[in-house]
Parts: sequence; C-alpha cells; structure tokens
Amino acid sequence: MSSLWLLIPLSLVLVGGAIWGLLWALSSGQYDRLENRMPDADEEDPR
Amino acid sequence: MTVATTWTGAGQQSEPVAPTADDRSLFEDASVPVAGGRHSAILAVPGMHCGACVRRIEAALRNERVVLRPSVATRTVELEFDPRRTRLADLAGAMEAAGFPARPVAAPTSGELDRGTYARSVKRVAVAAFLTMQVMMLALPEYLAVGEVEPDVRRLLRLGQWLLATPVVFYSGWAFLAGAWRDIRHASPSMDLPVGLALISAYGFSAWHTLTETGTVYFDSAVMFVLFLSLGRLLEARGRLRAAERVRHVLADQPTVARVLQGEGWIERPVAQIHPGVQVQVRPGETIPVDGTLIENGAHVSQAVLTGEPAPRWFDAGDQVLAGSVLVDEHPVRLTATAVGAETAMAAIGRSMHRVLAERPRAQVLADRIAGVFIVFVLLGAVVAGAAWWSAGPDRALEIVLAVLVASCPCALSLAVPAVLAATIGRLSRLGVLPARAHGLLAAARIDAVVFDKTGTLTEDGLVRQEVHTRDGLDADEALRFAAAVERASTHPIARAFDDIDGPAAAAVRVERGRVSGTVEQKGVELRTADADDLSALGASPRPDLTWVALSVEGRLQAVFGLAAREREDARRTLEDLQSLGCRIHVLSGDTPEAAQRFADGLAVNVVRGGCSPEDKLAYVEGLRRQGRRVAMVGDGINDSPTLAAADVGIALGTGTGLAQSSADAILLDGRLGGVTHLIRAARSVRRRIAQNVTWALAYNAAVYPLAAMGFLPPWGAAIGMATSSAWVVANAIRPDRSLRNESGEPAGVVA
Repeated sequence: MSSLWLLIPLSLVLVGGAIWGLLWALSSGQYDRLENRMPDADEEDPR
Repeated sequence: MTVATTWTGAGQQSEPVAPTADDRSLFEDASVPVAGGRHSAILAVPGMHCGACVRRIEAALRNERVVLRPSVATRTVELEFDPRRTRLADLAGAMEAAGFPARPVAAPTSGELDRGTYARSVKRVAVAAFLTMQVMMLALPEYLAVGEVEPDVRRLLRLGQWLLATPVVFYSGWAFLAGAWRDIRHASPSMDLPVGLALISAYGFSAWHTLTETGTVYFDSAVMFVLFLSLGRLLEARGRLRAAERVRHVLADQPTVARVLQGEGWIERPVAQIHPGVQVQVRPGETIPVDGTLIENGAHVSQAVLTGEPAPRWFDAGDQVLAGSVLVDEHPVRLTATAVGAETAMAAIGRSMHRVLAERPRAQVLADRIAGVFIVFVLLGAVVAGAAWWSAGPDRALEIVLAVLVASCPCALSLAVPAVLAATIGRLSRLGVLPARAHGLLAAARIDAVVFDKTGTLTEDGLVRQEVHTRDGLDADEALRFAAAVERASTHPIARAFDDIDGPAAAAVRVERGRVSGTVEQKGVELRTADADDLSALGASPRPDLTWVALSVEGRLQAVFGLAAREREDARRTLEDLQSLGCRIHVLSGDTPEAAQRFADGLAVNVVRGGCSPEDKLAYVEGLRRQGRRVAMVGDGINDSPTLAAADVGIALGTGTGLAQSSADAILLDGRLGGVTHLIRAARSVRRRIAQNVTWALAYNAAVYPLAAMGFLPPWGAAIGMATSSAWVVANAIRPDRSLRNESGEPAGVVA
C-alpha cells in the first residue's frame, strides 16, 4: 500500500500533463474544423 | 413579444465581448423598412444568455417604443423601431449602457465570438473528463474494500480526490455555480439552482469530511455530475451554434467590398455604399455582393447558401442573381445592382431564420412552465426528504438530499421542445425548405387540404408541346426538327417546347418581335405566332388554352404547334405524395375553367377551380377553413400574399425577389414543390418527437424522484440517470428522419 504514496502524486502529474497537452491541441486550432475534408497531399494547390 | 427564457443559454459564462465600434456608421445600413414606416434590424448580443438578460435589455429600451424579438439561442435580437423617433445606433448605445454591447449581426466579429465561447466550453468539458477519470480511480478503493483501507491511505486517497475535483467543480462547473447564485439573487429559480446547490454541498461536505476524517466523500458524484451536465449542454450548444451559424452564413458571409464601375475603370467600394443601379464586377470564385441582373454575359452560379442546392445553375444575361451566391465560371461577369445589404433576398432569409429561432411555440412555453414549477417541488422535496432522513439517523441524510437534487433536475423537460425544433429546422433548410415561423412548422402536421395556385406554382416558365398539325407531305418529325433548329439558341419560353429535339442549329438566326427565322439545310425557316387562318388552313381546332405557333418553310405554312404551360418538374409526384399523406388537393387558376380542368386531368387533384381572381382564391381558402379543414396554401409568395396569410400554413415558392414581403410560414427556396411534402412530413415527425420527449422526461422524473427520496439511488446513480435522460431527449431529436430524403434519396443530414 505504501507504493500509493508515490503512485498517486505520479498520476496527478500525468493527468496534469495530459490536460496540458489537450488544451494545447485545442488552442492551436487542431479541433477547429472537424467537418472539413482533409487536405490531400497529392492535390495541386488551387492558388 | 417573444421572450426565450430560462435554461437555454445558461451553462455558459458571459464572455468578454468585442468592443462596440464607436463608429456609428456600422449601424447605418443595418436596418430595413418594414410595415408602417418602421425599420427592423438584427443585432448580435453576445452577452445575452438568459431570460434575465432579456429582461434587462427590455428595461433599457423601455422608453424607446421598440418591438424586441430576442433569441437567446442565437444571441441575437431583432429590433423593430421607428426611424423618425430614434436611430439604431442610439438603441445599441442604450443596450451597451445596460451592459449588453450589440452590433449588427452582419458585422464580421459576431461569429468569432460564438466560436470562442464554444471552444471554451469544449475545454471545460475536456478538463472535467480527464479529472473525473482520475477521481473515479481514487474513489474505487473505498467502494471495493469497505472498512479495510488503512486510515492514512484513506486520507491520502481523499486528499487526492479533493485536489482533482477542485478544478472540475470551480472551472468546469463554474457556470452552474454562477447560475445558481444568479437565481438566488433574482429569487427566480432555474435549473441551475438545484444543480448548483447539489454541487456545492457535495463538494463542501466532502472537503469537510476529508479534513475531519469522518463520514463519506462524494467527490466522485460531484465530478461525474459536472461532466455529464456540461457534456449535455455542450451538445446542445453545438446544435444551437450550427443553427446560428447558418443564420450568420446567410447574413454575414457576404463580401464587404465590391468592385464598381467608376468612369472607365473598376474601383473597390464598401458594399454598404453601393446603391441600386450601380454596375458591379464579380470575378470567378467570388461571392456575389448584391442582388442584381447580369449584363452582357450569362454565367454559372451556385446558390448553395441560399437554397442548399450545390450544383451551379446557368443564368442568362438579364436574369437576376442573388447576393451570397458564388460565381463558378472562368470569366468575370458584370451586373447591375438591384438590391443591396439588408434588402437582399439573402438578408430576408436570414431574418426569417432568426425569427423562427427566436419564436417560442406554445408547446415550449408550456414545457418551460412545467419545468419551473417542478424545480420548486424538487427543492421542497429535497428539504422534506433530508429532514425525514435526518430524524431517522443523520448519516444518510446528505446523500439522499444530493440524490434528490440531482436525479430530479428537469433538464430533459426543458430540452424536449427546442432540441426537436432546432434539429428539424436544420434538416429542412438542407432540403431547400425554410420554415419562417415556428408555429407554422407545428401547424403543418395537421394539414388535410393543400391548395395550389396553378400558374407559376404547379407550372413553371417554358412551354411544352401538346398538339402538332402538319401540311400533307411533311411529317411531324421533320417539322419539329426545323422548329427546333431555329429555336436552338433562344431562351424564350417557347424554345423550351423544342428542347427535346436533337439536330443542328439554324444558320443566320434572326429574332424579331413575335417571330424567329433562320436557315436550315439551305431553306429559309420561320417560326411565328399563329393566327386563326393558320389554324384553319391546317385543320387544327383552336383550343384557347394553348399557345399556337406556326412554322413556315421557304415562305409556305407547313405546320402549327399547340403549346401548353409546362408542368413543374416534380409537380406530379408531389401531388401524389400529398394525397398519400391524406391531403385533399385543390387547384385554383386564373385560366378559364376548361383550361384549368384540362391541366388537372391525369394529375392527383381532387378539386379544380378556374377563372379565379385573387379575391376568389382568398374566399376559397377561407371557405375551406370554415368547413373545418386545415389548409396549406402554396403560391408564388407575392401575388398570393393575402391568401397565404389566410391559410393555416402559407408556403411560398420563393425565387429571390419578393421574399422580403412574403407573409409565408415556410419558403421553398429551390423552387421544388417536393418541399411541401418534406414540410408536412417533418412537421408530423416534430409533433411526434416532441410528444415522445415530453412524455419521457415527465415519466423519468416521476419515476426517479421517489426512488431518490427513499434512498434507493446513490448520488452517482442519480447523475448517470439525469445525464441519460437528457441524452435520450437530444438523441431522439437528432436521430435521422427516414421520411425526409432529398432528391438523390440520401437522408437529409442533421444540421442542428
């Protein structure tokens, strides 16, 4: 049971990291336009 | 006045708003004239998220004699005011002074604000979801090994839960706490009050029990509750955002500058400064900035934003194209502006959509009222149950109170009606049907008689061959080939009667008034309006309902063709579908009775009336209603306005102009009659689903309330039950409707 003293703080650190990662992904716009078609690498640039 | 209140906007905090422009010119062109010399404008008010906000705005404008139609769902208000008394910029100033900055909905910043709010709610849910998982993990040992956990480990577990639950309650759940506080201050309980009370007491007592190392902790229930509630509200907000975005697409995704002709060259000018009559240039791929008529060249134009129909259509020179459509051709076109800004068809559509979202039909008013009463009962019930359990033994009283508060929250009841309406309006607009009034959408479910105006509704521009008479020695195919050759290049309605004939075009085509001539196979061919002599020369009986044209080859009369009005493409199928839905079909026409009867022959029509003046049509519809029929009237929206207004449901076949004045309850944007069937089917499904939702919500609450009060439901079970019931209601609203399919047979996607 004493391992919990390490594991619980460790899990707190990990979940903190996960949330930071998600918020970063959100604010960098990666979830902004979920419905659009994915850009196709083979496609010629229309401009 | 329509006031959308309570719950709809709660759950999202008021967000910082963009600074209202000092620049009053923003407001100058944002309003349009409506009846009685008054003006109407739609303003985005990002800070307006609840009924209380609406009341404060109303109070701020009380002295201005305006009609206010707020839509909390889209955070917009429609203001109707007297421009001789007051100016829009002043009204907006008064709103800002009351703490609600407002700007014209077409202003480019309004969409960004909503998206920002949405992104923040996603973050809140994400934080809640991650931390809830962790809290669950730490809560598990106490559930699994009751009494076996050593006190210091238990303390560690509880401290961990406390730490993890704090951001969930105070960051993700902040909106509920703030809402509860607002309810207490205004002494008007909304759904947020029981939620906030449950949340803060669960958190507070758990923290106390952690510190004193006594009792039980409910951190897991609290975080789960926040997660489910905020997830439910996020889904709901998403639906609303989509609906609002569509309105905004229509209103705001229009170019702000246009290239206009000045002297010899084109210069860019703000659209707001363009007046009808000015020449405007549009380049390939650009959105057309104004309503206008094409000059010189025709063009392929996509009206997807207006009608939902993505395929581009060909417009000839002289045809009207509408602001918001996109030029898909490879060459630039020029057009003469006919309507600009708030007077465009697009803006009229946007206003109708705003109105239908702002309107609260009776069913919703009722559901909100029931929910309001219910909340009072929930609070009283929680107190009574808590007191009863306390007297029996205090250890479970808190748990019971929490369970009652959570389980019986009538969230599902409040969502029952708006979720269905928003989803259906979205679906219909994808099918090119724009419901302009929410009550019309509900009334359409009960329609049992559909009255069609014939000309321009069941028929469209262009004619179709009914009779062909040729001189001996010339067969009909050859005559048709000659006629088709000279009409090949023409866009005249008569030319469409020969569309189906293949062959080469005539050379040296000349078009004069009433006649078109050209050279086909080295012979001079002429097509002209036929007179009585032509008909008798070829032995044709002069049917008055037909348009007659005569064909001469090398100056000699060879054939006459009798042409009739062209039936709209999907008229036949629509009439049959409507009959199979149990509607009687009435056709009214200004033509002679014989002509009207002949047209109706072979179509699924129950009653035909010819020789009708507009007054006759109005009287006919009123007569049907007096007989107890529920009447839908389908007309072109301009000439038929009074008749449309007199029917239970008026459906206008809108193709741009005149939409603004339309008194219709629904508008068929792409000119397809099938929309009438879609509307009635959708309305029936709306009624069905609203009934299902309300029944479910009431049954759920009735069942769960006593269970929670009697102690059979732990708080975490209550949180799941509440979330499931809300999710069921929303899912029932957005599940695909198999009766609604577009032309290609695909189900209409869920927009809202």
